[in-house]
Amino acid sequence: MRKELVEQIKNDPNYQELVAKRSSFSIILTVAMLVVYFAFILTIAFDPKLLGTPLSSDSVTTIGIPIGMGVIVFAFVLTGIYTKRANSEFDDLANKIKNSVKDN
Amino acid sequence: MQRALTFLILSALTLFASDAIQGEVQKQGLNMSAIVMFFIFVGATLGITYWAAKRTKSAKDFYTAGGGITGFQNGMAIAGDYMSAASFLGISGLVYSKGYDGLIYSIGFLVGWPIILFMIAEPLRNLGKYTFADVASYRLKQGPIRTLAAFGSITTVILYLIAQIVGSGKLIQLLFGLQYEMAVVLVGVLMVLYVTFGGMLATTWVQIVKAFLLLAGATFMAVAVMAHYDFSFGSLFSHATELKDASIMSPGKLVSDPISAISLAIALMFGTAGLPHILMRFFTVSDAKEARKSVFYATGFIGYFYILTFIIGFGAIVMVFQNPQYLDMAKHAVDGKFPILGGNDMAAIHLSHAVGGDFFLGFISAVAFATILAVVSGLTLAGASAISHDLYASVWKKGQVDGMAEMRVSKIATVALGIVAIILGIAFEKQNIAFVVGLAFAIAASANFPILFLSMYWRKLTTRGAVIGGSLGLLTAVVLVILGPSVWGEIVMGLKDKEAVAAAIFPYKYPALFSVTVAFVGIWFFSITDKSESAKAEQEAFEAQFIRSQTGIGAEGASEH
Amino acid sequence: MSIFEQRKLIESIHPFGLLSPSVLDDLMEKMDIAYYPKGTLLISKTLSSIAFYIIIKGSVTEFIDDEVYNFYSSGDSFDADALLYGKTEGRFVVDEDLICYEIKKDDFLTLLENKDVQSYFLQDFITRHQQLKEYHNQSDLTPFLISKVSDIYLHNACIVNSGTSIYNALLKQKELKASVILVKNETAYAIVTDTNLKECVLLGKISVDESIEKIASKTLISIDYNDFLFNALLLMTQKSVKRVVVTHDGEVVGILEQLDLLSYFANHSHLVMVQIEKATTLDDLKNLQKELRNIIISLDAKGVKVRYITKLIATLNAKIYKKLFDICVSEELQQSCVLIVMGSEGREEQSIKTDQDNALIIKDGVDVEVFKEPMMRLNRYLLDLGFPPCAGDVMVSNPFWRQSESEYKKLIDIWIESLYGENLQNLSIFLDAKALCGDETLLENLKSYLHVSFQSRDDVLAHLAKAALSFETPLSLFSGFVLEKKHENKLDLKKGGIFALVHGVRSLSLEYKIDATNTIERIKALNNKGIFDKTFATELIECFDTLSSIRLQAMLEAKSVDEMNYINPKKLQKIEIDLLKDSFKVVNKLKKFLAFHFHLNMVS
Repeated sequence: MRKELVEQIKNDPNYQELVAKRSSFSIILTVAMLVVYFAFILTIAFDPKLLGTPLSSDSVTTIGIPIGMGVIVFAFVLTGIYTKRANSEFDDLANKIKNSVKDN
Repeated sequence: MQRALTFLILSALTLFASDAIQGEVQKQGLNMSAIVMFFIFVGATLGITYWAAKRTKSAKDFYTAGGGITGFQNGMAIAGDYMSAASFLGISGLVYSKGYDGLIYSIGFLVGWPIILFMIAEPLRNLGKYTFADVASYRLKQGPIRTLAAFGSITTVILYLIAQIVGSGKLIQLLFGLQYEMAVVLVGVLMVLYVTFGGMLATTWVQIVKAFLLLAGATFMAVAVMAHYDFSFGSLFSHATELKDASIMSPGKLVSDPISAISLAIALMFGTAGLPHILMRFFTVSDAKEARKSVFYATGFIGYFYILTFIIGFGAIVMVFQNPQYLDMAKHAVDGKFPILGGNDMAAIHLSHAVGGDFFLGFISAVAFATILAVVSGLTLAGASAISHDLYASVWKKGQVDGMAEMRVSKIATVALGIVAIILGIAFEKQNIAFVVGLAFAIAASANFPILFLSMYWRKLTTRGAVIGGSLGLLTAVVLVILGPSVWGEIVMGLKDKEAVAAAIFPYKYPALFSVTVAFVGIWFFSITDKSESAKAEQEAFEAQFIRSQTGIGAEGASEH
Repeated sequence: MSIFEQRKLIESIHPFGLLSPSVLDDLMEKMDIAYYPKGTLLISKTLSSIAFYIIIKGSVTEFIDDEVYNFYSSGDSFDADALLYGKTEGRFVVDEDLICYEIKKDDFLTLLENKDVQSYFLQDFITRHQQLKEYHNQSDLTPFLISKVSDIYLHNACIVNSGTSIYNALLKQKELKASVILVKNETAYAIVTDTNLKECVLLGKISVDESIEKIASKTLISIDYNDFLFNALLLMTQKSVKRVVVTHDGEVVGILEQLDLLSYFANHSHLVMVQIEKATTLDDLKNLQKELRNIIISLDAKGVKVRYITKLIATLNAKIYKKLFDICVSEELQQSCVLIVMGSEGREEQSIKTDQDNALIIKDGVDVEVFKEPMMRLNRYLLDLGFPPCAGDVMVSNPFWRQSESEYKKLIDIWIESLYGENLQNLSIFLDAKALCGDETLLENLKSYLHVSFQSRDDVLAHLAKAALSFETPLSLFSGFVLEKKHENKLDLKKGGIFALVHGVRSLSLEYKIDATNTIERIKALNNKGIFDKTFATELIECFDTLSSIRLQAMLEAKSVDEMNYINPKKLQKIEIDLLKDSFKVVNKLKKFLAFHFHLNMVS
């Protein structure tokens, strides 16, 4: 166990920034997903009729259909947002940390 | 072992019991042209896979010859792993029979992916570990953790295998007019052969090709259905409601009570991360950026595919339901209902015939069958590796065993898994396969996910906490499934629907809400009360592990393990 | 079997065919037929031989140091040496239930009174080997290197006590006709050669009455009596000495002269070595490649295993590198860098030169540019001397392969981040690095950095190992060869087997932090670590030997570098075809093992 290295990385501002930013970003996105999904599920559990409301009076299509599809699209969009930010910002930070470890 | 034995006895019982109601298994005349098409397409699928894998190796150079797999390709492969029999046959069958309820399943299967990307994929890749057991034993004690991890993985794998075996068994039964039991044995044997002899096959390419064919086939079916209704969902839905009733357009009986709904949601959402054959896919691509992209593309493909299955399910309602060609007329004459040949899971297969004739029926059957084989191979390998590597080599032999012996054990484990899957596949004949997969997810979410998640994020996790809590989670999940309506009510008591629920000792179909809670609370309690020296050391090791999981920098020095 | 048939069988076995009918009749009377079940240990170090065995049915394996050394089956006989010398290094174990003739030890020794038979058994191994070749009784795998130091003529050692005067010592030397004088003091020996005498007594004006100790040189190069002769040759080549002292249980038993050794081996490696040693300019080193080639051809013709040939060639090449390095790099700069060879050169597995892979690691803080000119020169010289250029430009002339230690570390980090294409290739080449001249610790540092960086990186290791599965083994489902139509229906041995074996073993060695670079040594180390079981390790080594030796034939016949890896199976002998097929099966077994071990089905 290389204690000094652990300490050094822990005190690296880039590391703290990476952990703080990525954690909060992951948590926000996770919570967003959970909220949307559980809102959907709990609606089904407690008020199934709500999703069974027709889109318009002469239509058989219920609002549950676009909402369900919407959850799928929402999940896809979230992964896109995360991937975009992680592939640029987070990776850059991680590389900075790696380089600073080497220079010592 | 106890658990496996119980299952064996239960399934043996049901084998005898099912003879009494054998009338349900309906054999039909052989559709020769579809069978010929089936063989041509299975052959062609294998051929394309071989060609695709070969093509990447044509480079002159020794090291670039293996070829890099891009995020897009790997996303396709992940989707291929995921769009198994359960997704295609099971969900379209659910939509066919229950309408909107099928969509609830699809959404649940999908939302696990963003969670994996945000919470699991990144640290897993940085740790450089393939399997759930490897990650969990990173700073915890190898022996107990690997034992537990192996049991969690094996249980999940077996349930997932059952779903695939049931799906392909019914498909083969329908296509070749075989007895269901015969069909299942046939599939099981094929599966073992495929894994044993195809162990070196580049499964990534197998999955890519099959995912592409499945997506293409499903797209064609959905477009053909929509073309009938001038691409108007409104007319499709209204025709469907005319044939069935308006209830198919809104959430129905499937998850009527809040506990079942939440339980299912938890299982589906967190189960994906606990599936032993999925985690490995983050390593297929050679860098982290491509790994993230592959999850993004996979989510896209899977989401698109579920939308297609929804349309296919409704397509089956309008084109297969009440169409005498696909109905079990003998039974229709008895009760006036409209049961389709081979059961609801075969709705998509019948629809393929309705929109594309024998030719397309052969194609879809072949693709579905090949997909199942590929998924099964990945699953069996993961299960066999849990037995040979975690249980045999690491725990039983304490690492004092050579690689060849481990490999031999893995081969034996493959055969054993095949046999168990066949027996249970026969026992689970009447279950909807999407539902069985749901059970696999429930086990994964209860036994594997809590340890995986906490080992990466919670400093205070100790071996004691993980082992006791994890075992409680696994045990609760398995016991509640056995005491629940599906096994106790339907398989053991031979009842159906409401009667089965009433007869069951545990009244809910899904155990996840209870078992996941038990697991988390158990792990938490037995970790914080663990005051041993080793627990302290494990907690101290967290920092280095966390740094590595965040940055990929190995800070644990040379004296690991 | 009738008596007549038995007699025919014995007659057909060399050298019994040389016996007169009456002697043969006599022999037949004395012979017993014996049966030994599978697993019986017939002869070993501790179990001395009681009879000469001629196999009728079944088979026997001879192990030396747990390595399969020879294989005897119907018609073969063993083991004359064990009977003649009363001991053996080998372990003879019955492999398949054995039915054999036994000639009792005494009868066998009587038999040896026959001149022809005696000459056969007492001949030195080379002639015996050739004789056997003529009789088609031996496969090419028969190890030439059975000869030990104890088998060869050793010169008397002239040993004097440390107090002896130079004069008296010289008298004793003359009496014993010894080439050197060994001076024995309480704990060790020192050596006095003609050169010492010349320099000290004739030129240095030391009196002949002085104690001999004064002119003795302390560095004594010795080899054990039971060691292989080939190692003695290697030792002489490495240390540039003309003789080595042979010891047995710590006592000097004689002197082994280079001349005797070389006439035994009958090749020109000493000439080459002397040529390299004496060279002061580049011109002196020219035409060496042809000499090296001749050495390879002659050693191969004598049945020397390819792994020993390549080792000798590697030693000679190292001397050339060292010479050039001395010419090109000033003494003070030499300690700020290390010259390394990589790839097949680093593994010491290159026989015929196909490629050069070399690099320079420069100490941190030293200006990298200072080395540019010397390295360009070194590269030019190497090319002049017939070292073929590297197609991938892995040469010291390329600034990429001429960097500081910390730059190499960054490179290693990059490899771990993304193992793809060129990175993978560079890492693979670098893994075989071996230091030749300069400060070796520079390479050691990088190797340990490599090991720490790859520690428990199962993912990256898998991507590395994956390359071993890049090419199909050219063996069909029904054990036929799969020929390459593009290459006149030939077999590519490198793609088909050697690469997978070398690369797979290399990947495992990185995972288990094995420092050896030579494939066979790596396999042995993996066996020691319990990754391979003994049987599999033996199979792999045999397989590697077979593939290398068949490939060497192709290389010697090839007219261009492109053809070197291709062999035409139609030209192989039956035994070679069988061995090749068996080797490919072992390669497939290794591939399956790699696929399983690294979970390769998930990354390819």
